[in-house]
Amino acid sequence: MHLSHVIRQKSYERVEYALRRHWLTFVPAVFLFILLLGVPLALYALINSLFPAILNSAVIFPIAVLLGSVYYLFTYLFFYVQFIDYYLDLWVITNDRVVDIEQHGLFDRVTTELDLFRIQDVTSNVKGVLPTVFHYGDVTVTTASSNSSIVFRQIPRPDHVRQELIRLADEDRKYHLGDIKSEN
Amino acid sequence: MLIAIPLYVTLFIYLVLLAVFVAFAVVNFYHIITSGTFTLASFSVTFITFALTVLTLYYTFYLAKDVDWQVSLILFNSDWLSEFIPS
Repeated sequence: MHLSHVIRQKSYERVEYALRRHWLTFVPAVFLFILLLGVPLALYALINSLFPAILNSAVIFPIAVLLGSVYYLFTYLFFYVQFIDYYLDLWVITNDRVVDIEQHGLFDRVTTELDLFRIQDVTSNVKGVLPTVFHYGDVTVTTASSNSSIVFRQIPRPDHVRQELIRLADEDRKYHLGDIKSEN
Repeated sequence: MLIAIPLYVTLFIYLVLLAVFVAFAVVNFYHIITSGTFTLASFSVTFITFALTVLTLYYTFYLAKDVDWQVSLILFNSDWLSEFIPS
């Protein structure tokens, strides 16, 4: 399924940006995954050096094999879920609106949309050593008509995205001048 | 008193957990397909996960193929208590 289908792209609409969190934000999950992969190996080495007879038992050995297998399978699953959680958070900016698709775990997905011409404030926030060095951070978009806001979390080049959002909102406002006057 | 089960019962438990794993993995893959995010990155991670799963299942089969699954797994034996409680 293509992105245009996911956001139900309108005929006059074109996708300007499709943003995901910076790749560096996924690195801790990779390190944790590698660490978790090493746990059974460390346990095996420990038991093998302290109680080598245990692993030769006709009952304990098969149970240990099955437990190890289940542990590894669920570690892969944990990593895969972490990746889905990271990768399926998506912010799409078109020439008409902003679409925020956020995946929370496996069975919780929130999609929010707001019209570009309704944008009142755009704030970018780069906080911390790594975000400053690798140029990633949050962009908060708030609208004039409601208290709703969309937060682009840990996206690359937040300052550039903020400027682009302001530019696109200004352009879109020209097309919706009539709508804005009738609302006021 | 002795409570024992055949070792192959652990195999059934393993198969149930394997089914849970497959179900969740399929849901993950379904998310990738339906969210329009089937890219090189998501394909790579899916492939790595799938390859690791196949390797793990193969190695599990390799290690478990010569096991005698008819052996009794003793869950409880009252003799264990007699060591602590004098008769």
